[in-house]
Amino acid sequence: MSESFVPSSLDEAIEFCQSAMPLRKIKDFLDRTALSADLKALLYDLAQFTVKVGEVVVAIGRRMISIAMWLAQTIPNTALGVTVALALTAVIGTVPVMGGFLAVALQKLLLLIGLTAGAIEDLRQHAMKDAIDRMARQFAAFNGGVVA
Amino acid sequence: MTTEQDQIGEFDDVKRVIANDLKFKARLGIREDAFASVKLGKTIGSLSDLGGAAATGAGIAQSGMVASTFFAKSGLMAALGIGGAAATPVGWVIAAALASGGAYYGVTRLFKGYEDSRVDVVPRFLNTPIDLLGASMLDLMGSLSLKVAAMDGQVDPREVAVIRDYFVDDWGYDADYVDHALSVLQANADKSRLAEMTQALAEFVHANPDCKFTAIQQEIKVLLHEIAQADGKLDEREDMAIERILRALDEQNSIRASIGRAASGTVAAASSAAGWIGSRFGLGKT
Repeated sequence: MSESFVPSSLDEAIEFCQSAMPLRKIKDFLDRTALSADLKALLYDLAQFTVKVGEVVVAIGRRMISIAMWLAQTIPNTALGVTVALALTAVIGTVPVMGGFLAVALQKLLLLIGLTAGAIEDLRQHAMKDAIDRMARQFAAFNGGVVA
Repeated sequence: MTTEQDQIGEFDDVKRVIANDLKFKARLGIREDAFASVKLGKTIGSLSDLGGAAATGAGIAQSGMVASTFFAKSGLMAALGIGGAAATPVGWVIAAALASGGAYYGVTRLFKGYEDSRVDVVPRFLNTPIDLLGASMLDLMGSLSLKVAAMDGQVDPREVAVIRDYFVDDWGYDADYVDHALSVLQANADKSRLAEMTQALAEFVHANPDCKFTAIQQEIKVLLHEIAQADGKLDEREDMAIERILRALDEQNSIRASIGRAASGTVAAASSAAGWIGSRFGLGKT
């Protein structure tokens, strides 16, 4: 499934997440970027984030990071840290039950990339609106299905 | 004679520089200090542990057991009320605290050195893109190695094999990349002087946040001695070259060199040897 695919059901959303890039490839990718070691470690921790939907453990973190990687590569002059922060705000806003760990991670991420929540919100509402709205739709199917 | 374009073309099938990232990261010797957050936490932790040990020493010195050893509870002094309160002189308490803090720092340093010689700590990530750092380290260490190998007038194939195996087996480099890179380095070995190469390596390692100077210094020492012994002949020119290199690296690592760097301003972190060397010598980024 491509990074721009928008699932229309919970089953499709689960499949969308489970088919994301494996952790090993995400780690290889991060190893080859010029981000700081602390930021790479945080992004890798995020990639390992999972949620439980019924009896299924869904690798939401891997899909979030791979969408962010795709956005950073396709939209010019967009840093990976920024796209991950935008992805987190989209997911936290769409599926509040996932907010706990993700909100803490977002705070650390903003500190590491040197941006404020306001700057991210500004990007979300303007320059990256279409991309982030699509991401919110991609994870919306998890609303109500995730076990907190 | 192969042109530069031919040399570049030879890398078409090479997909990566580093095949085993764990080996590579272990060799850099940076351990957990690759992470600014962990490094800061360690420093704070050391200071608080040191303070804790010092406080413990003070606590022991202030205890009744120590006090009663030095202050009699009977006799004239006790009758006069001096010493009966089991109060240890403040000066002795401070001295005991400082001594135990210093002993802690000295003893823990001793055991940390012991641990370092037996355990390799590998950071999960580095601050520099791994392939870029790998290419830079091979350029700098590999060219220095080939220069030493050529000191006796010719580069023996056994010497090249030692260099290749060192980077592939010990550092985790991709074998194809090393083969092609070494042929490029051999073709360009006579373009720089030994002293310039040594200084370039030392300054790059100091500037890069993912390299520990003493670890790289030790690696170079081991590699150069292996190269010198590879062809079975003890060549005085090779020995002298190795001695010069190691002495130059020691000087670079000296306190005077550190002060010099501090005085000349902040050294920008080096990720690419080519770009960094280019900017140092006014050649612009490549």
